[in-house]
Amino acid sequence: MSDSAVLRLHAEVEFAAELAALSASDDRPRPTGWSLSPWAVRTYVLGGSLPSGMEITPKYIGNARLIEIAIATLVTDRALLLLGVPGTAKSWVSEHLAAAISGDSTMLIQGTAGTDENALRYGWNYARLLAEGPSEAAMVASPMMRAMQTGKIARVEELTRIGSDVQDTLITLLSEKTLPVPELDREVQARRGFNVIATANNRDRGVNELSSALQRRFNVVVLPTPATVDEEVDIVNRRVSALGRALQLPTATAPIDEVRRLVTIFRELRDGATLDGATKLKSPSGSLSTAEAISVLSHGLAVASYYGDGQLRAGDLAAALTGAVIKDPVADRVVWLEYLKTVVKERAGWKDLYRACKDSV
Amino acid sequence: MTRFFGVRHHGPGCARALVAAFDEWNPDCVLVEGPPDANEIIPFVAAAGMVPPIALFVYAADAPKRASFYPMARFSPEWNALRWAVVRGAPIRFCDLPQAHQLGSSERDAADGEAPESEGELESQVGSAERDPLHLDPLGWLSLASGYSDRDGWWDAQIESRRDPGSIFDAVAELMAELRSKQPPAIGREARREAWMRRTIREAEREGHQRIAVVCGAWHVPALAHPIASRKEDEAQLKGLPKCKVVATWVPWTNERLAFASGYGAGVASPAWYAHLWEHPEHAAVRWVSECARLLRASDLEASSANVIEALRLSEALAGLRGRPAVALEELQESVRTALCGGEEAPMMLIHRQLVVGEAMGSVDPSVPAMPLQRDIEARQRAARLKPSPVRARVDLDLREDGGRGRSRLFHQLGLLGIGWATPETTAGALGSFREAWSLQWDPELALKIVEASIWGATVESASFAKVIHDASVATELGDVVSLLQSVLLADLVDAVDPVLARVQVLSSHTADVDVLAKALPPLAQLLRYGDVRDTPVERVTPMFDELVERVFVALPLACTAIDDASARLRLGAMRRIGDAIATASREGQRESWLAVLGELARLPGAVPLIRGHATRLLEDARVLQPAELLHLASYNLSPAAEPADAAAWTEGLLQGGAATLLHQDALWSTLDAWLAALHDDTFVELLPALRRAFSSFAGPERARMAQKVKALGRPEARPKAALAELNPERARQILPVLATILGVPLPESA
Repeated sequence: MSDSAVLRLHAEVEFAAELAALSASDDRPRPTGWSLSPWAVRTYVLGGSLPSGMEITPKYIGNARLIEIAIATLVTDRALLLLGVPGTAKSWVSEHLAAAISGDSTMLIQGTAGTDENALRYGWNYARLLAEGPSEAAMVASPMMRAMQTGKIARVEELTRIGSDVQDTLITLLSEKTLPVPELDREVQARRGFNVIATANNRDRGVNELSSALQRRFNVVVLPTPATVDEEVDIVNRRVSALGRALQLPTATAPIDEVRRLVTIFRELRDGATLDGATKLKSPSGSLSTAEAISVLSHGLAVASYYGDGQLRAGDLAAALTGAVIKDPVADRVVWLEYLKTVVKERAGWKDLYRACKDSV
Repeated sequence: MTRFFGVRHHGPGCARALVAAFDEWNPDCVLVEGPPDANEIIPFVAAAGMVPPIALFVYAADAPKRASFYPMARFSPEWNALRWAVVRGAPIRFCDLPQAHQLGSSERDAADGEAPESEGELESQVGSAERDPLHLDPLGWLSLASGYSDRDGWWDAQIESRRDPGSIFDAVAELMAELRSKQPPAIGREARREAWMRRTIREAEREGHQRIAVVCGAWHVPALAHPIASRKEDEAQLKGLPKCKVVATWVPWTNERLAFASGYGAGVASPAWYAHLWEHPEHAAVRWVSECARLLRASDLEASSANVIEALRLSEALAGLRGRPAVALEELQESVRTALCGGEEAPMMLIHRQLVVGEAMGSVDPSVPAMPLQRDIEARQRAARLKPSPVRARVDLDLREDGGRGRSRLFHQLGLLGIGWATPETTAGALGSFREAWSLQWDPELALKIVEASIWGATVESASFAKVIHDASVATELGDVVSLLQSVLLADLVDAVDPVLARVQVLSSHTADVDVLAKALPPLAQLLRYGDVRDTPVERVTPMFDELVERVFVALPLACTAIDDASARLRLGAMRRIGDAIATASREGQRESWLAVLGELARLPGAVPLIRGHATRLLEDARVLQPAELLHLASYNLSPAAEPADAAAWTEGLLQGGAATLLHQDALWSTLDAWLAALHDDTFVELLPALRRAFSSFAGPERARMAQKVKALGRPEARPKAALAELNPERARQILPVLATILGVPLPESA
């Protein structure tokens, strides 16, 4: 599995060493079916140091209390719904929680408008179904069913993109913890350790609003955008370094001042005001999440290392930055130009960025 | 033997432990940290009508602004100590430094000066003179240091949430001794307070009491239990203190005021939660979450019992994960938000308001001595069937009814006294002056205002009368007296009308300032026109109004010559007010005189162009200006010889306040156009700001119509002709009956 040619490793593979060390030093009670105790899961997600001296890197930077609520929710056998605007690390948190609790984050259902009931329950291998009739061998278990059978965490991404009628399949599944298979006259009962972590975007919640019956079966944790500039700079910096290593970029780290500048731009446009609160700004239509800041910076690093002198400069960032801000070619362009002229141009030491961005618009 | 009970003010666990300890030990003398000035009124705590939250209110007799409040809730240890002693007849007294010495000292002033809340004579029991953050809230810092996110968490978990706190007091004393050993010894006011406490303890010991219980803030215990100063030192410390006469009473208080949020030093963040803990020591968490669910349901939000259970399970899991001995409010709030409210913030604000802070308001037994004015206010409130409540509520009054008038009278009179219980609201959509809307909210600190207002009289009526007469006699601004007159009429203080009117007359004869006189006119005009709803003697206002108008007419032209731009703009406001007031009052002949004054202004060579332009405009609005005259004035003011800046100012004055009526003056527009076109390029750029300003006040559609107008200026007859040609007489006739109905005229037969 841990093939270095794989583009993106699963959390449990990438952080296998940390998980093993945590498991070794974890002497507190583990709920049945959990591979770590809740306290160790907390350390895994939020970071810390082990008695052995090993440092656990923080996976989530931000309000630790939210992560505690999420873990406590899973302890109580309740399904967890992570809500947040795009790019607030919902899927990231869900993957790491699954990796820490079940040691397996691959029971994943990607929610789309086309997701049907089979993706949540089970489907059939029609060739065998025709040849042998309904049998277990002809059945294709969904990740949900496999999670139930093995007592692991199933993840549902973008829950609100799944059609309402398909969403409702989850209702009985979550309350009864069983999945009947009438064709074979049997049922799959969930083993201890099974649970569901769903993520949904609360900006376009209206796509397929959760029914109140389903909402009642979830504990909801809202993940906020990073609270302070420093927090966001930290997040971007860590993620970009990790990505840079994974992508084997020659220049893997960005100067911290450049990160700060980028995060400042993102925050100011997102909040509709300069950081000091002195100037009101227009906000573009995109969400300008932390995740986008990360991708802009990685892109800049790639440009710098392949086409530049290896040093990240304003010009390397400009194209990706402009692309991230301007989602609507007309309205956002005005917003971006106005921001460049009124804020970026005036700021001491930002002249290079102004010129570079001005050219790329 | 003397035992010390170090408590946290408003701590239910402390209070419970205290009562249990008292029952067991049965002290024969109880000393409580509080102002000895209030010793006399301690027995009232056992009276039936005393419902906490209430506060001891101590103020300087000659300057009620200098005052201190000592709030107590049902779950306050002090309240319980007081009640315990009074009910059992044990001697009880307060042992803090008397307010008689504190309110008179200058050090207090310095402390108040730096206090952020400016209205804040409010002072915590812990004291505001000590600015060291660790000292102000030692337990809060302990809590933060132990990894709680709020200042109450640690103490709540360790003390208040315990159902059987046992003998916590020794442990608390030890903890405080440890905390204070790292601190410099107390100085200044705090040193004197502790010296006084020690003195009171020594007195009690000398009197021969065997079991003396001292209830004080935990912080003070080490200084009292192991005296750091001898009797002699204490006496020296307390010598020559300033002194003033103080009065103490009980006043109602509110939960909101108990909470930190209102800037009260020794407050508690969650009074309603503490009250809950006090009332339901068993299953506090379960009950609280159920209350949350009930509240959500009452607000039409979904909250099932199943989710209540899930919220409780989550809170327990959270407390376990965080290594807390028991579920605290923090965990409960987070769980309710996650499991009951779908992670949303808005319902939590509701819960915070009602179940964490709470909207309770206390009441005080009628037997408690109080200012006569206070009693009168209560009587009037009862008569008006209005109960003071800390929750803001809106009241709509119909002044045509006796009840509505009575209430309005009370609100206005209290307003005159500065007792801001009711504040007027705008009545949106309601026509006529017979409606009034008020927003009511009782703030416990109004007790202070009542005491202050007491110097004016013993009843609301007499006090507001006396205050009005006083205010009128010291007022030096005409505008102030006129608004006072307005309030007097609204408050129905009939006897005050004549004196205040006399004052208006005196001040107006001394006032030559047109702006001030103009400001006085609209309220008077309002009274003349609408005052009769209340049967107030407005006829006395009439001669006053007439006189003022005459004086304004005489003074205005002179006031409009040789003035700068800023004054000219002020004068525009005055002109608007005068015009409105005259229209409102609609007195015989005044409109004509006003138009004559305006005509004079419009042609007065010395008047500034802005005023001339606006006077022209007002004449045009009144439709007394012939088109030819308007054109004449325009071409005169816009003639090439006129200074371009003056011409621009004239245009601005002309266009002030809507252009609809000017749209059809083609000739005027042509003149404007010719003037603009003839401007030199540089001059045009120079005038651009002034011109922009002239057009800036118009709404979008108006501007669009003007643009249309300008576009069509060259060929004025083209459009209307085309429209006429397509007129169909048959179809036009069909709408005549409807038009006739609307206009209320009979339809001509032949039409």
